[in-house]
Amino acid sequence: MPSPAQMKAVVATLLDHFHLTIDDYARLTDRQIVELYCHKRNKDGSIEADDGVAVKAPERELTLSEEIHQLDILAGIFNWPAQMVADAKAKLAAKFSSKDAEKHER
Amino acid sequence: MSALSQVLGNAGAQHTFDHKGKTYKLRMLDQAAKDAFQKHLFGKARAAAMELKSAMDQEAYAEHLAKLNDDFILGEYSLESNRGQKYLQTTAGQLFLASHIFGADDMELVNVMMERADEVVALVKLVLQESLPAASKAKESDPNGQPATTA
Repeated sequence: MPSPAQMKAVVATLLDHFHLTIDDYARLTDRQIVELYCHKRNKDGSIEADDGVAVKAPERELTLSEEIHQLDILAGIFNWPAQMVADAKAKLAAKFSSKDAEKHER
Repeated sequence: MSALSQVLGNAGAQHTFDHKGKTYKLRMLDQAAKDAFQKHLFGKARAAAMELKSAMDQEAYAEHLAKLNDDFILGEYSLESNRGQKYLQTTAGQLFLASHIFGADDMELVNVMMERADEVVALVKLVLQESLPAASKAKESDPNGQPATTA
C-alpha cells in the first residue's frame, strides 16, 4: 500500500505532467494509472511495449505523387510563381528517378 | 480480455446486466469508487465506536475517535489496506463493492443475487480485473503479500 506521501506524489505527477484535473483523476481506474500514465518507457522517453517492441510509427518516405501534392499545397498557400513550382517539380522528378536508378543498381 | 475496455475505463461503454426489465450499467472501480469504499468502511468503524460509547468514559471515547481519524488519514481504511482487504473478504464488504459497481443499493442487489448470484459474481470479477492493474494479480500467488482485490 502506498504511503499518503507516495500517493500524493503520484497524483501530483498526473496533474502536473499530464495536465489532468482532479475530476479526471477521480474517474481513472488503477489499471489506467499504472498501465497507461505510468507505462514503461525507453531511455529516450518513448513508450515501450511489454513485449519489447517500441511503439513508434515507422518513418515512411513519400512517393513522388505525394511530394508533388504537398508541393502544390505549399505553392497555393504561399503564391509561388508558376515557374518556381515547375522547377521544384522537375527537381523532385529528378530526385526520384535517381532513387529508382539506385534501387535498380542494388 | 479486451485491452480497449481496460484503457477506456469509465470513459468507455459500460457492461450491462438485465434483470426483470431493469438494465444495470456497471461502473469500473475508479478512484472515486475507492474513496467511497474507504469512507464507507470508516463510517462503519465510527458506528461501531458509537455502540461502545456507553462502555467508555468521555476521555477514552475522544481518544478512540481521534485514533479512528488518524488511521483514516494514514489510509488504514483504503481498499488496499489490510483492514480494507479483510473487509472485502466479508459478505458485507463484497456486497458494498458489488452494489457500488452495479449502481444499486445493497438490498436490491441481494434480491438480484438470490436469483442470479453466479452471473453477478462473474461480472463483478470481470469489472475488478479490468479496473485493477495486472500487477495486482501477482499478489494472489504471493503467500507473503496481501490478498488480491477480488470480490
